[in-house]
Amino acid sequence: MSKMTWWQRRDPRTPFDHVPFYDPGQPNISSPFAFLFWIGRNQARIIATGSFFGIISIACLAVMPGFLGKAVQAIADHDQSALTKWALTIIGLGIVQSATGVLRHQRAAGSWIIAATRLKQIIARKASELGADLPRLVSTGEVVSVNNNDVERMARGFDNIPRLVGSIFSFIFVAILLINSSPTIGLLVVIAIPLMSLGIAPIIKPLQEREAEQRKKLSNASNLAADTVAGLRVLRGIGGEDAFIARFKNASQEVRAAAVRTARTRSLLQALQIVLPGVLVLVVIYVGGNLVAVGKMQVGELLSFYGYSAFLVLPLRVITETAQRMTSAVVSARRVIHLLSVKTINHWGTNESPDSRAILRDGKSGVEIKQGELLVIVSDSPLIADDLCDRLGGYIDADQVYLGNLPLTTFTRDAVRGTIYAQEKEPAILSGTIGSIFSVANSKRITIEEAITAASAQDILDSLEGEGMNAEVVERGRTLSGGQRQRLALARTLFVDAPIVIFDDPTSAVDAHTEARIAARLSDIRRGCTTVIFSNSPLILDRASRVILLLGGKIHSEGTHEELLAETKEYRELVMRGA
Amino acid sequence: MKRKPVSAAHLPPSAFQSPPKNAERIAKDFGLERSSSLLPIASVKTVNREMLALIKKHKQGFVVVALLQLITVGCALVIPRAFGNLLGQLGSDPKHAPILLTVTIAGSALLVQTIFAYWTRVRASVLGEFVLSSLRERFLERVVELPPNVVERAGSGELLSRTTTDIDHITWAVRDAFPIITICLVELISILIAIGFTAPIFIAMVMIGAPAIFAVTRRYLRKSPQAYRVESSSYALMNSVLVESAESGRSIDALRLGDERIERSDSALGRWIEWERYTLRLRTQWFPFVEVSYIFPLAVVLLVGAHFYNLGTLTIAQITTALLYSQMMIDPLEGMLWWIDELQSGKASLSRLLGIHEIEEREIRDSDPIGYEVRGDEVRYGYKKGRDVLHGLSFLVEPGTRIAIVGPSGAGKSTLGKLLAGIQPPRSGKITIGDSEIGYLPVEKARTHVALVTQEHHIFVGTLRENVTLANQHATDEEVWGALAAVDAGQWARELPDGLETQVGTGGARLLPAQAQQVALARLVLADPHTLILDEATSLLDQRAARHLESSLAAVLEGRTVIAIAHRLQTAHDAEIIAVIEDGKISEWGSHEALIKAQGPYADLWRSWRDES
Repeated sequence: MSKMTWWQRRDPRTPFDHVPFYDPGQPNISSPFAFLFWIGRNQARIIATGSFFGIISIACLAVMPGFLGKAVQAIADHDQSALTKWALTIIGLGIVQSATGVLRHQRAAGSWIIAATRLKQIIARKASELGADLPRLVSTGEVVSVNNNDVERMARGFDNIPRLVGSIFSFIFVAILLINSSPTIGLLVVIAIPLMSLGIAPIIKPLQEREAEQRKKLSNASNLAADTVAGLRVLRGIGGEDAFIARFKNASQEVRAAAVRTARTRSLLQALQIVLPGVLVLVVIYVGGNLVAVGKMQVGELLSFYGYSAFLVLPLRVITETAQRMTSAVVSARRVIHLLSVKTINHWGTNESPDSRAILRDGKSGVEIKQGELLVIVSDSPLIADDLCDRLGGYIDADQVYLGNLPLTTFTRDAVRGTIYAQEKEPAILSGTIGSIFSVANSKRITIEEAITAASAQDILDSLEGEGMNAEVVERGRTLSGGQRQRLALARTLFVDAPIVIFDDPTSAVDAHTEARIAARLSDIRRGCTTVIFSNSPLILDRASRVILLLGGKIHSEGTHEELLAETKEYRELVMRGA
Repeated sequence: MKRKPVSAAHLPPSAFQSPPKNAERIAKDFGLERSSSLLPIASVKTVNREMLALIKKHKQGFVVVALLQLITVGCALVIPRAFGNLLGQLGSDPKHAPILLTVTIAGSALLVQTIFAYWTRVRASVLGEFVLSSLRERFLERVVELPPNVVERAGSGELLSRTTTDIDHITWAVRDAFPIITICLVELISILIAIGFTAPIFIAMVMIGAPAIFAVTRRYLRKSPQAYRVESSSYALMNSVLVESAESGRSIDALRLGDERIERSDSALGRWIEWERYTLRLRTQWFPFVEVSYIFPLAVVLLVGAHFYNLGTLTIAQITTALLYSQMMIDPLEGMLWWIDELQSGKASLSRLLGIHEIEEREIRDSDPIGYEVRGDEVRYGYKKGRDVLHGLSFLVEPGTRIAIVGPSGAGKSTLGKLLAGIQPPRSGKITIGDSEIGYLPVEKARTHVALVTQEHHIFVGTLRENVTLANQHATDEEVWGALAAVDAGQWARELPDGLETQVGTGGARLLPAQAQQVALARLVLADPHTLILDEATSLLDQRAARHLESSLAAVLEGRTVIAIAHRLQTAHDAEIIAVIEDGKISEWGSHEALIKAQGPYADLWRSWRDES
């Protein structure tokens, strides 16, 4: 890995050219604070430069009242050259302030983008690490909400730091300035501002609680809406829209009520942010006015003091806002940590070379699979068949399934998946072109065309937008029919051509004509390779080199299709068709 | 982590170097053409018009907020004025300056300002929430009215993302932008008037920055809406990669595509960042110029004010007041620009929401079906121009017949099912039920006559009862249990913890796919149309259960016309008439016995089955 690849400077004008990262790193997730700190440390540079510009830009704002006061004093004194000097200084300050302000904004935005990117990359890697376990252990809804809302809230905690640092610095700076020129007013302001922060604090918590309540109501309403839309075909076909609309309106009005409650508290906060600094300004006017009256202060100075105390509202607001953001960042960090600490179901080993010719045995049911056979398993319960398929593929209880004499968990996950391919009942077709669906690791023994022919899937290509390998499949193949999806998945599995392939009812949605064709071609293309099929279809069973009958998950009998038909009544009942 | 580094090849040509020129290019860049052709996106003009209509509709609310804000700002303006006056007197006669009086006046003003500020904000929020909730409710109302053919074509994904993501996006824009912009506007105008009262000449001075602000803002607003629109699309795209990974975890794992998924997600992130970069550049060319424009008026007020002070036409008090006023303008100005910006990004989502209202209604030719006879007359249909799937089908189904449609995959069985259910009319020819063309009847009427159940199933969030009684919400317990029994679901339903009141669907008790299919059929039993189309409606049940269900269902549906599309031959065997469809044509039509005798394709298939079994 060359450094160039991850510091690709495509556009040196922005401070986040190096994302997405080549490697987002291993986060410290021992606690929400440690996690946030880890992220911050990894982008310390952009936070530091952002804070630097933040200090300058806010300092420019902070000193502005002083120069305005000096300028007014110069007017009062009829001092034209001093006035010109101060007016130009004010313009200069304005230019510096807006220039550093935008530099600060770039770094603040960059900061949140980098943090969000890193988090999203970490989550994507976690999803890949969990693989098949992910849908078993975490609901899609939770993954999505963590990836959207929580990541965003965590990242938002970082984009306020430059402003916060700038505010704190300028607060200290102005405080020193004030105390130097008038200890009375200076101390008054410096003590009053933190007190005001404390005065506002009691509202923050109820506000956050109400906001959380509102968010909950909102997510409830949007879940309802999403659920209605997901079932829209059913609704449009059979009716019941009114009930659903009424339900949604109800939820929506609940959101509105909660939002108005939140708004009352928020408005109270805003009103406090007006009245508290306002009172401070009045006190400054009173004390300062009396100082001027007795000749201890100049008019221009009083104007500056007025300006300073009005300015100090800004740091106050920034600090309150940061406190709010940080609180929700910590809450969200906890949820992200929860997702990142999900452990895989199996604990995989390190052996990278399993013997694909060894016997595959399921410890629980006792089913054994020999090299090169076409075994068809007939089960009286589809659930038990699904379960056994998952076990043999090493998705669950992999420590109770043996290849040779070794439990599957002695191998690496990659090695197990490369050796045994267990196709689930409803395999997913990922969106993309036909070409991309077939760009998977494969044995190179079978061409894509051969696999498609074997699965009787040529007609699917014709029905799609685009020609041949460029034909587009949208949205997990939702535009395809169940049978089409099934045959496409079958073709993909045949193309992968793993040494041991297990199919869970691969022709359940296929018509009899096609099923007969697939059965013949499948046994042809898999000749010499180990294949297990869970199916009760005579068209498939007829091709089997061996058949196992499972009743209640236990082996009842085994033999060829003909033998079992002739000898076993339960078998006949399960596979018999027609009257 | 071992994987290939993300190379530039995975990312699109930098959007930064070549900013988007037009909507088509943007759509192309993000592969959005398809979705935009599935569901329309409202034009900028429509969005503007709709926003105006929204404001007009809530005119009263806006007026109230504006009036309240007027009082708030009026009070806020008292303080600088009083302070300016005090300063003037302190300058000329420090001993007799009315310090206490000034503080008292300013204090009262502050009190009134605080109270009214609170009131204004509350009213503004109430108004915003009201506008927002009526918008989202109207959207969903429209969604559930969409013509079935549109729903069928668009798929749920696109609609789903509009329902969730876009509604989320407009929350800020609609709820806060309109009221706050109103507040800021009132404040700005009030301050300007106050400045005018201080000394009219200052108005010209503080307006000196206005042309500059106007110019850069206009430039910014010309480019930003499109950019934000794509930015939010690319953000959604990035999330959909993860959704797919989460839902298809098992297949991804089996295919060892983990690293490929990471790469896909990284490259989607890269695209999003490209757009973030572009919008940041737009802001970079906007913010600083606006900010500088705040400062210039201060210097001008000072310099010009000094000139008039020397001439004796202006006082220190006036200059101070004007200075403080022009500083006061920064806040509402900044607020207004900020919210105009937010409104722009919200507009993108708004145009997707409002696009729903532009979907064309399908053609309606209302009539009342007489009788239950289902007739097809030279029915032709194709999804693509010049490529028909059905090639001139003609048939007659007598009322009460149970008919099975069999044939190879891709022969057009499901398409025929959709046409029979009236989801869309045939391209040419006619499908009639009781002499009415079913594809042109209003949806509500059509479904009282014919219903379609496919293998696609959905359990709604709610109780089991709510799920079954979709079409017949006043069904009694007895009727619901009867419907469940008719689809062999009585037993497991009784075993649910709360019976009919058990919460099912996402977050509730999980039903197996086969059970979900039974629920779908139970709904149909309660809906009780005279013609039923079942497209692989029992495919997820195992063979024995499916067969048992079909026979118990048949008993309940006695006298109804049932058209079942099936790949299991026993369904065909049990039907009165079997229609074999091959290559979009009906190749055989008749009873099981007749077709066996005819020695055609059906007989071949049946024999191969029987012989083996």
